[in-house]
Amino acid sequence: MSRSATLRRAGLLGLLLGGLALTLPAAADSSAEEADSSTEESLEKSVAPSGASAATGETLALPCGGCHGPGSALGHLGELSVAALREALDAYANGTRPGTLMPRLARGYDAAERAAIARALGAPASPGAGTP
Amino acid sequence: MSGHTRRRWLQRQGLLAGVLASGALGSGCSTTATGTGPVGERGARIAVIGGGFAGASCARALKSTRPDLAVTLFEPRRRYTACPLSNLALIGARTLSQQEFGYDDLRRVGVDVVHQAVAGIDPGSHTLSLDDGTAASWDLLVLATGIEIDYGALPGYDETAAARLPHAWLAGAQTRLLARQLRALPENGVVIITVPNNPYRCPPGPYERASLIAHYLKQAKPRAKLLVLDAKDRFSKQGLFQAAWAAHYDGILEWHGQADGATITAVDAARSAVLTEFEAITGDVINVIPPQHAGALARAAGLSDASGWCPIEVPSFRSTRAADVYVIGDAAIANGMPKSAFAANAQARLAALQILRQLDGLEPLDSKLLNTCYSLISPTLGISVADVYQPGARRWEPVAGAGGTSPARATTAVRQAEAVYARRWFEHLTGSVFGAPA
Repeated sequence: MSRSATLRRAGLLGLLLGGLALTLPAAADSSAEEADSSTEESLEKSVAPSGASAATGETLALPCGGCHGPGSALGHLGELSVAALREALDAYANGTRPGTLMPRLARGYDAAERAAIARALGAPASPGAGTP
Repeated sequence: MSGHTRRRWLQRQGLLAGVLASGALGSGCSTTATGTGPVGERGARIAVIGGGFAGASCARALKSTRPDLAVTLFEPRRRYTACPLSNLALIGARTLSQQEFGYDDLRRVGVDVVHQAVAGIDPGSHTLSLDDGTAASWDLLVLATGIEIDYGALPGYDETAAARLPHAWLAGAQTRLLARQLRALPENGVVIITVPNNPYRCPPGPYERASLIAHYLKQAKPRAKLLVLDAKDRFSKQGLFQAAWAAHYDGILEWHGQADGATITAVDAARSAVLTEFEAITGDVINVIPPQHAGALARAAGLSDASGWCPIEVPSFRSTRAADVYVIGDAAIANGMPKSAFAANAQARLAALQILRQLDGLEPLDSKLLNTCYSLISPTLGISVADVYQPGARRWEPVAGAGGTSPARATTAVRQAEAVYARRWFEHLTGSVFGAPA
């Protein structure tokens, strides 16, 4: 049968990793430090410089719209408060909240970036609601 | 082909440059810019070429954010057939009409959609010509033309051969053809899928397709076989796919890579055969997923390089080869970022923002981007790969410590959930880009 030649050579698969390098530790482990409100400063340092202006929460949050938005069955992040969204992103990143995809994505952002994303997407606290 | 296009373009240029394709293009336009600086804050003319996930997303983002811009989307097709989930249509688990989207909703937000093919782009004079002979001027241009099949890269595989041995890598008529052939497959028939080297559209797509076809054979034609002949030894989500194949499709699906000598060197459509360095392999149904490139339009305009794809600056998505031109989606060399619908949408959103900054005379903004690709290993079981990317000196690089695939060990419930999320993602993305299905 025609497959014999290819079968003969089976078992010789290269073991070299052709995929993405995922072995290095995260550039900045931010779990220890709580980001405060001076996020612009923090973001300045967080994204590798390329001669461009520093990232903002709004730009970092752009790809989130691929899954989330008004009417999405995967959730509309604008329905969450900034605090709840930030808490969820932190928990995904720190491994304390389970999820299929979000833990893998949240680990790509440091605490300051996660806070900025939450501020960009979350619902502003209503006056007197007690959120910081 | 490119020479012909080029000649036609040159013939037209003297006559037609500066003629506007539509009234909307003329409103309050500033003088045409020749550098990378600001081109005027109001009424700038943005030409977006290609109405897929990248182009439609970018046009919508630009017009929604800055209604004063004259945004024209050039797309020859009146209905777009989306690729994600289209492998389900191959096996009758989804209709292709569920994959089709129109442009009325983009018009509703004010995008001028012109159903004409672009015949040529002249970055120097900031003009483009259309198949109907008209021309248009632009201040900034967004190239989002996706992939073209690189006919000629695989000896024996041309458009005539594709009518017999479908690629089905551009969803639509080719998908229907392959679906018909699979239904007509003899009970003990052999299906062959050939997979090219990187880069190509949707890195895990061939393996999702193999999984779903194997699922179909297992149900409908259990004596038939599926042979996957791959030009590579490593592929996206390999461990997850191969575990699923062993668990679900043992004895039906057989995969061979480059080290097995499975690289296809030519196609013999008349004999329904593919050729490797060692032998001719015949099949009853052959799905040739051929090499791809950014296409003739990009090449003739000088926007692609020797690789066949369009190099871009990071993080702006500006072409490195022409001023005032942006390239997004599958046509661009986005390095670590795969050619996927998710990536195209994310790039389009960021590029729209960078375009607005250029219009305002501001330098590009840094950002991170992310990608998610779901794949189905059966109609009800899914897996995913995700990555976060950041700008490096010259390329989009994956952020270390983030991303990766679904876990190798997962409950059926988790795999089922990811299949549900795949559909929800598709519904949300297509709805947010195109509006409701046409």
